[in-house]
Amino acid sequence: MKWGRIVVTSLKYIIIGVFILWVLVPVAWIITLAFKPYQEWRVAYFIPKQPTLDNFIVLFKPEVFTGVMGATAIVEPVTKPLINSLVVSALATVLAVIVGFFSAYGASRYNTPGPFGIFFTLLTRMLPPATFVTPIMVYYANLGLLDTHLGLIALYSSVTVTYAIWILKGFIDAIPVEWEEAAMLEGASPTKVLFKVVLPLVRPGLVVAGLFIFLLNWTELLFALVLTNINAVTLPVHISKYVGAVGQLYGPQAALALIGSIVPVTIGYIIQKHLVTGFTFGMVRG
Amino acid sequence: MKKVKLEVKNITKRFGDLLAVNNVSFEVYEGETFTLLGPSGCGKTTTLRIIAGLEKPDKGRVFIGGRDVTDVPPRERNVCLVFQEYAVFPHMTVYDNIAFGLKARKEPEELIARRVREVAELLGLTSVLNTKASKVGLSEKQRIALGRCLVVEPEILLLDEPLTLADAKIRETMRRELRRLQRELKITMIYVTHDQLEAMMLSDRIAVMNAGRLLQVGTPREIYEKPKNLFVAYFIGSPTINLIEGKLVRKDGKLVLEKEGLVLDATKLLEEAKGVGKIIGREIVIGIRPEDIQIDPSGHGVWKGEVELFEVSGDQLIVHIKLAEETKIRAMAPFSLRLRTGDIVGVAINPDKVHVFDRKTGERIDLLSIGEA
Ligand SMILES: Nc1ncnc2c1ncn2[C@@H]1O[C@H](COP(=O)(O)OP(=O)(O)O)[C@@H](O)[C@H]1O
Ligand SMILES: [Mg+2]
Repeated sequence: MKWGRIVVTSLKYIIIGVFILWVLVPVAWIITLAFKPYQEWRVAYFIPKQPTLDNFIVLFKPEVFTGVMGATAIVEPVTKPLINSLVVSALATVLAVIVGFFSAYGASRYNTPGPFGIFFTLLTRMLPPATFVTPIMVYYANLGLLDTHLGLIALYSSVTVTYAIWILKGFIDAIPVEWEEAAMLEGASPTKVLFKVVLPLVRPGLVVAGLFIFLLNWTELLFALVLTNINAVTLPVHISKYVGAVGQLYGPQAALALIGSIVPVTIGYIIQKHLVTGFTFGMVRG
Repeated sequence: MKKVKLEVKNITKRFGDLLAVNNVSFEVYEGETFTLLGPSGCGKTTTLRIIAGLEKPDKGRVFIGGRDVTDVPPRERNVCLVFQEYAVFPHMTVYDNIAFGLKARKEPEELIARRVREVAELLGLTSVLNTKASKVGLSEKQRIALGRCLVVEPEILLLDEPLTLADAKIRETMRRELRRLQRELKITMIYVTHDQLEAMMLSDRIAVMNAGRLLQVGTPREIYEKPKNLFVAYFIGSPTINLIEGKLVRKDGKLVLEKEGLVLDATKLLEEAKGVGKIIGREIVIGIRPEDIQIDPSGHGVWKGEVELFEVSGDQLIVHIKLAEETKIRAMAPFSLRLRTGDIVGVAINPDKVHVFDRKTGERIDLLSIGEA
């Protein structure tokens, strides 16, 4: 009896331990790699013997280190892709959340566009994105949208709007229709009802949807790889450049990954409070 | 002459195959409390929502103050509805909740402040005005929901079972408060409830509904004393009315109620009633309210029976008496009456308090009116 419980408990901890290692080891590897000098990139220990910031510096000032890290060419500074990513991800997120909110409201309250309409917004997510990439490229070439911020924003927001709709519909469904009806009877116009009653109540939903979509945009590689070249290159595309034709710059790549994760982690930390209420959905009945 | 504030004319509403409201018509006078009473699912809320304009009737019209508002949107009808699940916005303070309607109408700031304070005073909410609405208790929420409606001074105040969520104590206070408010403010109020006691206490007039149909409209007294059919008779009153069914026949000079071989002498009950001749030979149901039956321990009365069981109800006893196999009635008795199970007692019944219904249609048979006809 007692032994059985001990076995179960230890088994539980073993499974949790394995899972934690599974998640954390790659992260730890990236973090330590970012601070390792060239000579240590391929060694099998975590803690760097001679920690250095060179990997970070080379991201912004590649010309300083020409040839030092076994690179055969210069990778452009990371500044522009970083700004591109911020602008594209943020604007595409805002657009998707706004459009998603109004669509979700219609779907929740008026059942538009019918029972299957909402389902079909998921269609673009049911096939591998690679299926879409070629037609979109041809399309964009004709429209002059290749390698533009606008092109990426339009694509990102239209692809992610379905998540915004689904997430926000859940939040709007949780608001009793009677609350809106009461506001209406007391004299509020439909616009007032939307902005004074519904919007404040789904704020946690907006935060959740926004964060989720921002992360998707921030990490998107395939579309950006195909649709951008020089002008609108994003961070993920830029990260991929450090290993390939120019050599195997593992250290700078890890450093950039670290920098790239600062933004979402910071955002996540700031809005933690909203996330909790958002994911529990318990807020509305207050 | 009383002024008609609301007229509902032949409204019908279907949800798919379900006939939620079936050809309902009634009038509500200015300044009265009118109650829609009926069991859950009988179409009360739907009727209320049609009056508010939140639901469109399939047929029929709604008039407010003589104006046909059937096609007028809710916010232009000047009615307000207190929902069963109180509409109180958790993201606002109590003040902002109450002020909501006035702000939506863009009333001047001073007027809003004054009205909100008045209403808060009236409802005892002054001390929580600056509290977040999500932080107050159920009874406050209930009063906030009411306050939100009072503040916009609607022509008609609609209340959909506003007390069902409250516990018994609060319910009683709120009932009294509502009555007081209604008197003080002279509002026209339509109140929905499934609780007949609440309806009796609060209403000037009651409309009893069942399965989408309006069965009877009348003052609480009329509904209690002259229920138009078996449903109303059964639904009103607690404990419920005693119903004895059978065929009324004359046998050996006596009037008896016959059912499957059982015979109950009804001579003393019905002999004197005018028009009783018209119902001889018909299948009827006799209804007698437990509170209209007096127990006589010495055994005198209309019938004799054996005491089977007691229940305590407030300061009274409900006594179950077996008149015959399968025929039992309940009577109210004071606590002071010393009875034991097995006692043989007499039951006295005032013939005026006997209700007679047609067994097939369930409709009331008024012996007097038949006699006169
Ligand atoms: N929006 C709706 N869709 C479908 N059926 C409904 C709807 N609203 C009410 N009903 C049905 O109509 C009937 C009457 O409902 P309701 O008016 O809410 O009754 P009550 O308020 O008397 O309990 C019920 O059977 C209910 O299930
Ligand atoms: Mg109801």
